[in-house]
Amino acid sequence: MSRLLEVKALTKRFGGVTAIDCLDFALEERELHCLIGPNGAGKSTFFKLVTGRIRPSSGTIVFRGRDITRLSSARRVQAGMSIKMQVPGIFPNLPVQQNIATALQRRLDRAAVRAESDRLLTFVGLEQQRHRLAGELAHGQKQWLEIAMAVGLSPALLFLDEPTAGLSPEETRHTGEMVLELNRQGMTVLVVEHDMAFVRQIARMVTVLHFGRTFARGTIDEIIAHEGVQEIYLGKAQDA
Amino acid sequence: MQQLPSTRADSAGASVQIVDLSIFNAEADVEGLVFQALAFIYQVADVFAFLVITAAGLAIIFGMMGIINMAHGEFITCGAYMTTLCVRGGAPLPLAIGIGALCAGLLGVVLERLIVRWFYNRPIDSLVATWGISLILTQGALLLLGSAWSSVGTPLGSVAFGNYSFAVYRIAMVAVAIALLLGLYLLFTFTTFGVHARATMQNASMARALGVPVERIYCQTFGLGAALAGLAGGLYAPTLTLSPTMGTGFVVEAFVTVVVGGANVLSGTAPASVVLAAIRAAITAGYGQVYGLIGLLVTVCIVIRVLPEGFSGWLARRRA
Amino acid sequence: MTPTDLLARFNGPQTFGNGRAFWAAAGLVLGLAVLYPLIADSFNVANTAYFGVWTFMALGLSVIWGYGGLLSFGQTAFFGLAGYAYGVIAINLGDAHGYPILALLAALTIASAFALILGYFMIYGGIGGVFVGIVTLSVTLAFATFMNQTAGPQWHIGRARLNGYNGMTRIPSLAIVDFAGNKLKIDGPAFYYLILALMVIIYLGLRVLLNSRFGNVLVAIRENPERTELLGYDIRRYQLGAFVIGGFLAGLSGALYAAWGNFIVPASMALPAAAMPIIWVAVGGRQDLTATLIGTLVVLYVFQALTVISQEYALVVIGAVLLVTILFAPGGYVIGIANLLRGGRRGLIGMRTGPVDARLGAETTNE
Repeated sequence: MSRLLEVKALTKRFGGVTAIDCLDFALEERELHCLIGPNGAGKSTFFKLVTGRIRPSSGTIVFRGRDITRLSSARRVQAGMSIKMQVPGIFPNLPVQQNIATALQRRLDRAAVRAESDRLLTFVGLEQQRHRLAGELAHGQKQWLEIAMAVGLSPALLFLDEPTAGLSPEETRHTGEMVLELNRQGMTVLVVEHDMAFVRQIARMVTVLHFGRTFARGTIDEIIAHEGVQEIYLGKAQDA
Repeated sequence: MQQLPSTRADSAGASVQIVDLSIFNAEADVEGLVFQALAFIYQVADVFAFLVITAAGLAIIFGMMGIINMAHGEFITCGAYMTTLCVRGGAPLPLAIGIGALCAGLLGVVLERLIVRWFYNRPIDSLVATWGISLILTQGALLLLGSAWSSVGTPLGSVAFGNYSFAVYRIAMVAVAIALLLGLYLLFTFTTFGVHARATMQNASMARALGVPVERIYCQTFGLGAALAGLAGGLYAPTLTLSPTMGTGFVVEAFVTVVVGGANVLSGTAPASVVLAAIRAAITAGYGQVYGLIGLLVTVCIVIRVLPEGFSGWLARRRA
Repeated sequence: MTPTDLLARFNGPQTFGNGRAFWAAAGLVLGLAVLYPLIADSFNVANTAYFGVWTFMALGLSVIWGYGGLLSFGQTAFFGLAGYAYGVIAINLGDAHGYPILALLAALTIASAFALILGYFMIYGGIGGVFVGIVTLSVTLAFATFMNQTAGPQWHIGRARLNGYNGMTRIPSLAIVDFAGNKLKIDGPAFYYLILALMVIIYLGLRVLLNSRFGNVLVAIRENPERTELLGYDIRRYQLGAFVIGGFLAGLSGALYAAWGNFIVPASMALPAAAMPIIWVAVGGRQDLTATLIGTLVVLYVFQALTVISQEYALVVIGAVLLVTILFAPGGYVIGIANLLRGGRRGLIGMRTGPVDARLGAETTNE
């Protein structure tokens, strides 16, 4: 399996604060990888750096063999990334159907858009809502709509930034199943998460960030057993 | 004697008249040069004072609520007319100016409660709404008050240096502008209102959660902004012919100042006024009034492009 | 292709009125419009054509603001630029040999080019939200101020004098040549039909454009620019496209106006003229082409009726209408009324305006 994403010596300084400190990170194809860490560890900053919302102070990011460090977000998406943001990023005054169609129309023609949007909406459980305005959906449904839009790009790498933020335990579990299914179908997924129950449900590989550096990396069981990890969380690992 | 004129051009969009300084070329001796320099400083200071006084109200409203008050000119007109009325009725000028400011402030409060407050999280719609108010007020004033009123005349006379004479009143305006900035600083730093206002500016929902009466702060701030506009109108009323559309003559430069300066009156409007005054005076001296105005408008486009949050935003970032 | 297939291109999510009833009604209205010159006197025909001339600028603003989400005060700048350009070229070339048509095309090109430059400066420079309004207003006022002071014989381009505040006069009307080479002036009913034909072409053309992928992306940008970018679209390109289309249409209005009235003045660019497109579009319903079209014609008609009393009175009423609209029916009346008739839940509010830009530092709510 080849390396899909390779981050080398990534550093980001904000004035006097070093948010990301010479970070190395790699992601293989078909991985389902979770990024965790206590508050302030740099998860959001890392996420923004990789997705292109901010530029690094130094270091490189290589995606599918291309150096994307200088590319804009739109270009990175065109290169095969897809991003689901923490706050649901949907088109509130457009119908659900059109939300999905906008994601699909770049790569499909009209007839195929229709078919594919049906498939995706069914996958996330929103096929009944297709004519409702997206802004009227419940919070959880908005998250799933955005996941559907992100998946609709047929990306090589799917980024999920705290996809369970604000979801009930039921909805969290449903989201977890969706993510597992996507990975089963061959999609590489990188998830930034807080919710340890969710992480345990889906993760194969986990990386722990701390003070902007990789603190630990391994399977979910290794991480849970890792004493250092327990320490940096001060025993706050949440059980479902 | 070279009388530096302080009359205003009319609603063709021009504003403070700066004398044409092409006479610079004639002088050769040192004393003449000193007087020329004084004249240029006078001009820059004059425009600086004008920009600070007319833009302060707009800056406060923009900084607090993110609203561009397109009716700003009408508050200025209100202050100017009320002041002139009072002076004609026998009141001394400072009192008349105070009454003018007060009336404008009250008008502002009324409009805020009725209309503006529905637009606090809709900045583009607020632009349209305040525009509608502006249209109604201007055209309504035209209907009711007819055409121009003559001014009450500039008090305090003038003082001469060499070939130039400077209007004392306009020098006084510079002092007023500085006093205004100082007063606003004291208001926002040391009073309860000021502290509450700054909290609301930073994070309204947090302030509300801490018990700050946010809606009342908005209302008071809008009233303050309107009153400052009225003050500007009252202060400059003695120097101009009044007409219901005189507001437009002020508004363009006020806008430019606020946009270039950014949302903060002290770290934004003040330095912006200095810079714009210098640009304005320099261009006008070389090319005349109209190009001076055009130069300002071009400047605002460039500044928005280069410093999207104006001077104060840029300064805030540097400090961070 | 069956009629249904043909109609399918004109229908879509971005325009109201997609059913057969709508198109039947539209056909009826068009038929009446075609017959109009046969039953009305020449003044009314010319007046109706005059109203029609403004609709292009309004539709252009609808594309930029209603669909694209950018409030531009620049429409009258393009209007004036094209008007003056047409005047300059037409005066210098004369109206034989169909030159005015050339002048018209050249004016459109100039207006579009200017829109491209200004749009590029703003959109690729990261200027957004209310600042687009400020920059476009500044440019428009600067242009108007400049033109105002071009009185005096030294201000001329070729044979055309700019003439400052009083504006350029004796601009030739549109004229074409017949097969014998004779000049055929386009005025009166001929002009009316020209305007009508243009309205139909542009309306239908915009319907196709806005219901296509371009339109989908444009409204997506309006709704959530960041999300659209994260779907891989270069949003600046789409916004610039919308801006240039708007500028082109405003230029069309301007050149036709100069040709219709044979004059152009700086006042048609300055305040309060610069506000008028915003009023037309806000009152009708900026998020829909048909609503904009109907709303513009209604406001123009009402405004003209009121100026009989006085222009100030008309403006006060219009200002009040604008205020009431933005307070209670921000989506526009035409849409609101259409919604009411359909029993929609939105009632008079009409289409909701989308989430607004966060102003400096403030948080947004997604309501």
